[in-house]
Amino acid sequence: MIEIKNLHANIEGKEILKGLNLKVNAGEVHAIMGPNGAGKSTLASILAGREEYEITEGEVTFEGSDLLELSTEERAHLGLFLAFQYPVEIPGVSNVNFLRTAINEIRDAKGEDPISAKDFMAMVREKSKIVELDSSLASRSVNEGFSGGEKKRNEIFQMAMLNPKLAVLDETDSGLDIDALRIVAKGVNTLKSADNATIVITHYQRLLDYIVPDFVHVLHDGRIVKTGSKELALELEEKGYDWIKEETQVG
Amino acid sequence: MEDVLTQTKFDILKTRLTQTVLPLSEEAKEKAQALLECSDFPTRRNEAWKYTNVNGLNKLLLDDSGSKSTELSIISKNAQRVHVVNGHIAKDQTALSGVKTSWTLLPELASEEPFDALNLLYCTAAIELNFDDLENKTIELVFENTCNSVISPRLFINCKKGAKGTVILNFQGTEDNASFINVSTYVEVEENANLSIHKIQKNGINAFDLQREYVNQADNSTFTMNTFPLSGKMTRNDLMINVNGNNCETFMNGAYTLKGKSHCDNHTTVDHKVAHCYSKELYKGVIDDRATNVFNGKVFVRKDAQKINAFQSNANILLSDTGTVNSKPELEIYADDVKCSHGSTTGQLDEEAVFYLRSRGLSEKSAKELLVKAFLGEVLEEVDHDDVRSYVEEQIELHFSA
Amino acid sequence: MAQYTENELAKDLDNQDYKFGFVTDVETDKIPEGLNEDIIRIISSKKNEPSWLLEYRLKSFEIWKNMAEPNWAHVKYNKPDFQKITYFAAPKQSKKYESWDDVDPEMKETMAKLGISLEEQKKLTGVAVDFVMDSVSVATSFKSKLKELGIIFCSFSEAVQEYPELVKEHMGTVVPNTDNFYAALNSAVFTDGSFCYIPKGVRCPMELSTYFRINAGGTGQFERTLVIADEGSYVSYLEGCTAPQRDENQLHAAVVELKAMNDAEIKYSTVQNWYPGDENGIGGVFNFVTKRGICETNAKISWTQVETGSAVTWKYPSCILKGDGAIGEFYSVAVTNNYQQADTGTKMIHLGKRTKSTIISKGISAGNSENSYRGLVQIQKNAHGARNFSQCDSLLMTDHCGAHTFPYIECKNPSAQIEHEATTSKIGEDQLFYCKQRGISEEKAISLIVNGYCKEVLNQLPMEFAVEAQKLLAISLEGSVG
Repeated sequence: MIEIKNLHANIEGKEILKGLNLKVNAGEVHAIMGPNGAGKSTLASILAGREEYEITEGEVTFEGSDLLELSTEERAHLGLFLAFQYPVEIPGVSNVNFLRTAINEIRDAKGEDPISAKDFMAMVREKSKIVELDSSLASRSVNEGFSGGEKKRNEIFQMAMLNPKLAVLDETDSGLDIDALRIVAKGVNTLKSADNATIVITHYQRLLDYIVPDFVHVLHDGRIVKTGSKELALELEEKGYDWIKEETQVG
Repeated sequence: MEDVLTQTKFDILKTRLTQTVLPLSEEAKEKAQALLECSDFPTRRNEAWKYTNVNGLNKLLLDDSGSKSTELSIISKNAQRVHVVNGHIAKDQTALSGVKTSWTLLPELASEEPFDALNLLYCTAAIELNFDDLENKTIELVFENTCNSVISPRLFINCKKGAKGTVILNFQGTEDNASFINVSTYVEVEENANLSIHKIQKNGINAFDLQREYVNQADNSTFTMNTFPLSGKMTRNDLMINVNGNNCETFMNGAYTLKGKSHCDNHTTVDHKVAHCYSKELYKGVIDDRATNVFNGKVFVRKDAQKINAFQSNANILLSDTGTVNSKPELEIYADDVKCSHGSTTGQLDEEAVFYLRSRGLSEKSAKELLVKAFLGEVLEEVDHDDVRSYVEEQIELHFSA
Repeated sequence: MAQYTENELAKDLDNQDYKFGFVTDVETDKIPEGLNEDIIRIISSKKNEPSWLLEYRLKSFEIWKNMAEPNWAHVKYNKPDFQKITYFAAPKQSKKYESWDDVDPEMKETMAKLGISLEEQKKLTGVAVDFVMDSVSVATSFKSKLKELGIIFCSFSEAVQEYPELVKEHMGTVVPNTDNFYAALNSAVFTDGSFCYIPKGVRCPMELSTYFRINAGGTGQFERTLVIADEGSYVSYLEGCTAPQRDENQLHAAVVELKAMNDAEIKYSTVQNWYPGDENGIGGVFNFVTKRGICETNAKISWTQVETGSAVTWKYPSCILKGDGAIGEFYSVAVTNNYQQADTGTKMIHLGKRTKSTIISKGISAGNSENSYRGLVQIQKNAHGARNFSQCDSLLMTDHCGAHTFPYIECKNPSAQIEHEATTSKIGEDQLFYCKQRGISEEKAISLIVNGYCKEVLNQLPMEFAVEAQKLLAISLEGSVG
């Protein structure tokens, strides 16, 4: 699905990623954990194609294409989805209008015809159930006046609508209460299939009680320093990140 | 014959003024005279004077009548002071460091403004203030206006590289004073310097006060101008700030309390010529009786002056049926990566709040007073000089008890 | 879900140029260019006008001769040479159209290209349309149905012939011929326009619509619109404008007068898409328009405008809130691109007690354009309890354009509440990135965000107009991001 090799990246001259390697296959869920400032959100931003970052070394292959050569929207057309840590408000643009535009652009890129209004609305009804999203939210402006939990649920709703190959969830658990967390996780689990994959970026183990990862990676100082099973997450929860830091320094 | 036909209101005014005794080069004199020759008093047609009429200037007697010995308030006891009495620098003052009052030659006219030319040609006092260290000393210029005369000071304020300074311009007039006050102030805020000017206009109720400040800011400088027009028949302030350097901060605050037939007009322009600057403006006032207030604030952001944050706010409370408020906040923007906003409100005191206070036992008068003070308090909070703030607070108190 | 226009947008996005830039090949009856008393007499006699109207025209001409062209607006252009303009150009027609079938096929095609096929609209939307090409109204649909309700909707010339008393009573009472340079000029040389009268208590059952089109070269268009809503009546009026692509600057100086009697309501919507000139600023229409309405007691006038066209726009649809409880509204979207210049806004004059006004203005500047909001809110002495709220936002798309806000606020009554807010900022980078991450191209993301930004205004437009306006916004901003 995606393979990241020796990725180095700077922002405003400061090196954030220092040789990151990661391979994700279809059907897998990967969790990336790490202390603040390790580069977790940078990785998400680079995968989605934010232009502030400068890639100095390394390569990323996604579905057989050189990801770094593609524009943000081309990556989305190929099936890359980023659930934003801070979803943006777009006043005056309704959620449905926004999503229909997105779906039709993606279909157009694949040479498909636009979705009919009837099929689209049926899909909205079906997918909004997954995240228990009130149908009134669908007609409101994108994220405008949404609570923190609603914003995150809306991200997963969009993910359900766009049906991506690879979903990157950037701190989707931050700012969620336990009920919202469960709903979000349920959504992600429902959407899981043998053909898609998920990268869950999180600071806390809590989310991983609900979205069970196949692999847990620890990101520290711009590199993946440890990889393990879901038990690694529990160990991190218990002991914190310091022992990893020490271990890597010794290493 | 021809002369009579082309006589302007300036020509009439000039006949009653005395040419300056201060040293002026022939060139400077000619330039200023030429500007005056081709000018007349501004009319409504002139956008910048749409709401302000200065024709009353020619009705002032300007005959030096009036008492000569009244004591008027000073604001800061701790400040170094220069006294200017009825337009002229008082004799027997101790020389202060950084203050220059004697000239071999005055600088030429730098503006195209006829009242500035008038100020130069009929200059009664020229004072230069220099700040060159971090001491942040306060210099107070006290203008004591007890006679009905022409007060035409020309001020040069320089805050040198990295220096910090505070200036109080304290205009005090006897209650019935009917002077023509015409002030030009040139300000240079050099790199990394920080200058604050506090201007108090406590003029006699028949005085005309026309003032202009021309300010230049260099890189990384901070400039604050606090303006308090407290009384006077006609007050017009033109504050023009050129932000020529990057990373500058500019603050403009004003509070006014108008009553009787007074007319007050505050024009401000902040011209952002380069990138990465911040400016904030807050003018608030209360208008009573037959008074008129005019506010015109302009934020200019030039092409390529990116990353400018500029905020501007004007709020007015109109207390009487016969008062007038004219507010014109303007944005003129030629760069795209900016955040600029302005707001203007005009209204009355919140009746609900008045009622609430009365239900707690306050009289209607003191309830209103309290709310007005709270309204103006927002501006006073921006004033970081204790003496200035407490003086203005006291004056607002007096304004309402009178 | 009818508001979806994306598919249509996609088609229009391929269409880089001004799509209304065609010239219709119909024979034109033009009089010699230039302006003098004789020309005015010719116009008047061609229209077989009563003598009082000719006198009004000649008087207006005298007034105009002594006036100077206004220069206070934030626009720069070469002043038109008023002797180089043809003041009367009419599609040649042997007789008046008796029915729709009589209309010249070329003309029908023009209307179809403009997307206003009368036949179609008759069936689909029930909009009654008056079509003004160059200076003369050529077709008015739906007349008989309206007549049953006592509604008069016809060309201005027809009104002069058929309802001279109404025209004489109201014309020039809202915008006098002394008002300004262009209003005086219009009063002297206007050739046609639309006239509408809604009788007492009648709610006009359909949108009334006028399309204006400048077709002939070297001509100016000087139309007049007069809408009178009698007590307790309601009407929604739409106005659309296009012009062919020409290298010269064509002058459009219109006058629109609205009268809302006690308890009446007039909703006046404009989608202005005159030819804006090419990407180098060559050609385009000078749009110098005086629009004003008077509201009597408890009456309401609501102006909505979407301005995407014209090389230079100078336009301030205003409300005189004369009666107690009158309401004035102004909703505006003004888009400027390339070298377009717009100086537009409103005047809300509060005379009556408890009068209310709302101003929502959204300016979008792109290319090398200049876009200014200029508005006056005036509260007169007796306007006790008057309220105004103004929100003026500007969006900047490039660093070569300008966005300016010049509000004038004048208050003489202590019980009035006036609030004005304005912001200027660039289009949000984060919003663009979010859209792109969802697979939406930059062009489309901009169109989406801009339409959202303008939604408060677009929502005021009748549905068909809103769709057209959204398309126009997208087309006007193509390739505009700096």
